[in-house]
This record gives sequence, C-alpha cells and structure tokens, in this order.
Amino acid sequence: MLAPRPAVADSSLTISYGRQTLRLTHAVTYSGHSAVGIADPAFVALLRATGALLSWKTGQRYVLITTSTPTIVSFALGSPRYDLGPTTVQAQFAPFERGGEPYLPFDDVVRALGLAAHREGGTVVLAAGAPNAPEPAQASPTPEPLPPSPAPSGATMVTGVDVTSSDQGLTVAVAISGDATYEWHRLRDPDNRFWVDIKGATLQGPPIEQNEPAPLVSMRVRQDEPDVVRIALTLEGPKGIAVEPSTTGLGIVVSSQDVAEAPRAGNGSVGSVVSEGQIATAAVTPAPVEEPAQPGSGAEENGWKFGPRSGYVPTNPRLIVLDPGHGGSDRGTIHGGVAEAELTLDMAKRLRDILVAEGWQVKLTRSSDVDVYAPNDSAHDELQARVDVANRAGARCFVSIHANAFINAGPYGTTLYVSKPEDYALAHSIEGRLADDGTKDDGIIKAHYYVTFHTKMPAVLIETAFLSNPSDYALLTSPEWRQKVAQEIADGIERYARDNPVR
Amino acid sequence: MLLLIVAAAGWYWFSHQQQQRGGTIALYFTKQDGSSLGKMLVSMRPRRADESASEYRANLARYAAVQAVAGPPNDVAAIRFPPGTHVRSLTLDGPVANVDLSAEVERQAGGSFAETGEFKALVFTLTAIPGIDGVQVTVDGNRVSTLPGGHLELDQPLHRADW
Repeated sequence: MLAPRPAVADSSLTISYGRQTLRLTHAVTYSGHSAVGIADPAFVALLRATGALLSWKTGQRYVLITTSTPTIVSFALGSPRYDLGPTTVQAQFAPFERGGEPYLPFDDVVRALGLAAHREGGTVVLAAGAPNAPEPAQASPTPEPLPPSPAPSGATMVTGVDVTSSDQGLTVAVAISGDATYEWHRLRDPDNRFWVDIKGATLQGPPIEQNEPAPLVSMRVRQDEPDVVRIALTLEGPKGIAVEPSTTGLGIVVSSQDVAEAPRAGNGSVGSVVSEGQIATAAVTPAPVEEPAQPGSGAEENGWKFGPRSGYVPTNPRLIVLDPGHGGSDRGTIHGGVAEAELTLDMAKRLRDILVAEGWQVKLTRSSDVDVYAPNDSAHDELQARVDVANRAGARCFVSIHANAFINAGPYGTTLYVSKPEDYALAHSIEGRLADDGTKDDGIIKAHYYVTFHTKMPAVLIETAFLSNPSDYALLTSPEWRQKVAQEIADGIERYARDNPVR
Repeated sequence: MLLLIVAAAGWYWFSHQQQQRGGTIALYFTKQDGSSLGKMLVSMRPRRADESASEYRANLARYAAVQAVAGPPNDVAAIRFPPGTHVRSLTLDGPVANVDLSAEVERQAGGSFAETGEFKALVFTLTAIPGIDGVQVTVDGNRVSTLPGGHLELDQPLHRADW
C-alpha cells in the first residue's frame, strides 16, 4: 500500500446530516483534503443514515460502498480513481491505509452518497444533493461508457404506481412529480415484455415487485440508474399497449386484445411539456433489426428454434440439478488470481445447502474441482455429461452457475440465459430475486447454449457477475455476497416451483 | 488519337456504370451491452463478367464474413472476436454458410458475454445475405461442440432464432 506522501495531520471533522450532528474522529487532512477512516463510528452512522452499506476486509484492495440507490461505489487503495457505478471518476487522492484502516477521500464519499456539502462555521452540513453527475477521469485508459448526463433539477420523483382494471384491460398509472422524459420498449412475442424508463427521476419509496391480473402477469418498478426509474411489465401475450402522458404523470394502458403488429419503441415527455413522440425503432430496440423472414429456417414459430418440450414430466419432481460451471482442467475465466471454477463450486454448494434445508433433493454435476466427464475431456463430452446428470435423473429443473468476463472492465451485472420457451418462467422467477443482488440486472437473454438447450427440463444459466469488473469482482470474492446470491437463487426456484406445480 | 480518347472515355463510362450496379451488404456488430446490434452498410463490387452468380454470392459472403470477424472500425465500441481471428474459408451449401475460423477464436475472455456477442454479429451479417439462413462454424477445419470452456453450441448451424 502506498504511504501517504504529504504530511498527514490528525484533525476532527464535525458534520451535520438531517437532525444528527456527528463528529468524525478518524479524520485526517491529506494533501489539503479531508480523509475519513472507514471504522470511524460517526462515519458508520452517516452511512447507516443514508442507507448505504460499506464492505471491506483486511487484505482487500477494494472498499465497496453500496448506496441506497443502489449504486456500487468502489474505492481502490492506492488508486486515485474510483468507480461510481459504471463510470470511473478521479478522486481527490488515492485512498490509503493507516493503522490497518483504509482512509477514503471524504468529499468523494459525500458525492457518491448523493449528498451536497457546505460549511457553516466549523461544521460541514450534508444534505441530499442532485443525483450524481460525476466528471469522468481524464484520459481513462479503460473504454468506459459515457457518463450519465446530469439529471434536470433532480427534483422529479416517481411517487407511486397504481394498477386499475377497466373493461378494456388494465391501466398502470405512474404518478410523476416534475418534468421527465421517458422511453419505452417492447419485445416481440413470445417474450411479451414491455418497459418504460422515466429519465431524470428518482423513485420515492422501495422498489415494487408484484403479480398483476390479466392481461398482465407481473410488474416491477425500481431505480435502474441513479436518475432512471424503470417500470417493467410482463404481459400475458402480445397485448396492445398505449402510453399516454396524463395530468398526474404517465398512463400505460394495457389492452386485453392481442395485436399482431405493434410499435416497438416510443418516447415522450411529461410535466410542463407533454408529448408522445416516436423514435426510430430499429436503432433503439434491443430486438434485432427487422429483415425479411429467411426462407427454410426450420421450426421457428414464435422465434424459438423449436417449440416447447411440453411433454416433459419430471420423474423426480423434488430434484433440482445444480451445475457449477467449469472445473478440473477447465478453470473458466481467471482474473486477479481468482478462477471462475472455484467461485461456481462455492456458490453451487451454498445453494445446495439452502435448498436441502428447504426440503429439496439436490444433485450437483460436480462436487469438487474436477471435470464432470473425464480429465481434459472435450467440450462436447463435458457438457453432455452435465446434461445427462439432469436428464437421466428426471429433475424438476437445472441451474448452471457461472461468472462472466470481458476484455475491459466496462460490462458488469447479472445475466440469465435460456434456450427453450419453458426456461423463461424459471429464469423470470430467479431474475426477480437477483435484481437486488448488488449489481446490475442485465436481464434474461435467449441463447443457444449447450446445457440449457439439451436439458429436457426448464433450465437457466446464470452469469452471476463479471470477474473483469472491479465492483463485480469485489462482490464475487465476498463470501457474504455469494451466500446472498445463493439465497436469492433459492428463493427464485421456490417461487418458480410454487407458481408452476407439477401435474 | 481521337479514337483513343473515345475508347478511353467509353471504357471509363462503361466501368463507371458497372460500379453503380454493385450492391450493399449490411455488416452487423454487437454493442458492448452484449445484445443490441449496430449496422454498417458497405458497398460491394458488382459481379464481374467472368464470375458466375453462385461464385459471386460466395465471394460476397466471404467478404461479409471477413468484415464481420474483423469488426467495425476501432473507434466503435463493439464486442470483437479475439485478436488474430480470421476466416480461413467460406463455402455455401444451400442455405448454410460454412465458415472455418482460425484457432485464435478459441482464446476467449471467458464467460458467455463475448462469445454470444461475437457470433451474433457474424450470424446476423451472413444471414442478411439473401439465400443464407444458417451459419455452420468450424475451427481450424474441425467441427467443435463448443469452444473450449465455451457455452455456445457450434456443431449445428446457427440461425437468427438462436438469439
């Protein structure tokens, strides 16, 4: 660890937040800036008051703060740059260790918590400030995505979301105070998902996740980015949707009628300027750019490679097969000295223990660091062997656990992959639980992956987080986080089983 | 002398006409969110007089595959094949394009993020060519189930419906 070079002077710092006055005693002045020790009781109290969680252990390089937004802020000892969610920002100075305790740049922490500071006499007064508008680090070597544009005035809030029935269907009324722009998208049948992002807004209250009556299936509302509130709907089918600004905010009218063709994206604004515009759908929607249907593509009804295997009935309806990715001769991805194969096995074992305690039978495709089929086997033999474990046992469902990686630190988040239509219900239940796991929810992606494709039962491949991203890396290497993820996956499986009973 | 000028002008005009009859192909690349596609349009040369229609299509497809594997210009953020990956050969077998990639493709970053993005771009690019609806990938001349440590199943043709 770098020793601080300029003189470090002990100082104390009095801060005021809300009705609390706190005196920081683990405070030093470093290079003219305030540094605070993470073990300072007043600092800990401040974090708690803002709903933020800090995690660090002796020997770890990264100090993680998860704010209530949630945004993950990652300070690295010895590095003058820190990660504020997906953006890298220049700190006032590099955090350092003193007496075994990390000291962080106070002003940067304040900003990361979404607070603004001003001095009144000898006290630093903190109050909720504008949503984070970080200046990106100069000439950052990693190709980071553009920083989020500063939110307009920061006062716009989504104050509530109400669902009411009418004879045409359902109306989702999003109450929005202030001005905001919005952008909505829908995916093609059979995904039947719709979402609208309210930009420049914060969600008042906790995230919402609940089932809804027909023509919806469920609704989820949460703070997606520091200044974006996402309302995501799962529809029963390709229902007609109309998005209309209203006097109280935004109205989403979901019709009971199916529509054959529907616009796939739209945008507009609410508040003092109200509009419902259209944007070029091809450029924005995540569904592929439309091309004329290719002839002779095989059984492609509903966009799946083949229809659902609705004939499958598990002979062992209480059995869940867990597949820790890689192992033995295949280490999976390796970053910072940590191999994916170890992490997957650890998480699978934690998940197994939780499921067994809940009364399930669980089989792991491997329970130690070995190849499933044979040492140094081919990819085909290895993956087929894992599939065989589940298919031969007639399991209820199959969950494969992995960690992701990329060549740069940009991508982060949890992704679930499916291959068959019936995988989707399982993935959706688990995604709902993993959405609050501490990193971004990258959603459910359809992919022709060997294990999810060849298993006869509903299957999902979970890329828990990116080893190549510092925030995700810190999560993956934290046993508490792995336990949390295991619990969330278990909860998702429970819910799936409850909602999809075996005949 | 006048005859030469006329001949030269005639040749220039004729070849200019031919230029204008070349088509465009769409080169897709996957953005760094892992799933959305960007598209760049590239002009193709027109069919030469000594080239049959099927040869032209194969050449067009090979060019598209080479570009898809190379990826968009460097200033575009895209998910790219591992450095050094190139198309060793491409043949058309009815509606399936058989693309043999070099062994560098096996040097993946790990995880499914890059793998999914790379092959999505390749498949969407090739299947945008009329008459091609599937891409069968081989590595260094060999059929593989997946890349080492990979997830994507490669021993059957890949279609757009796989994404």
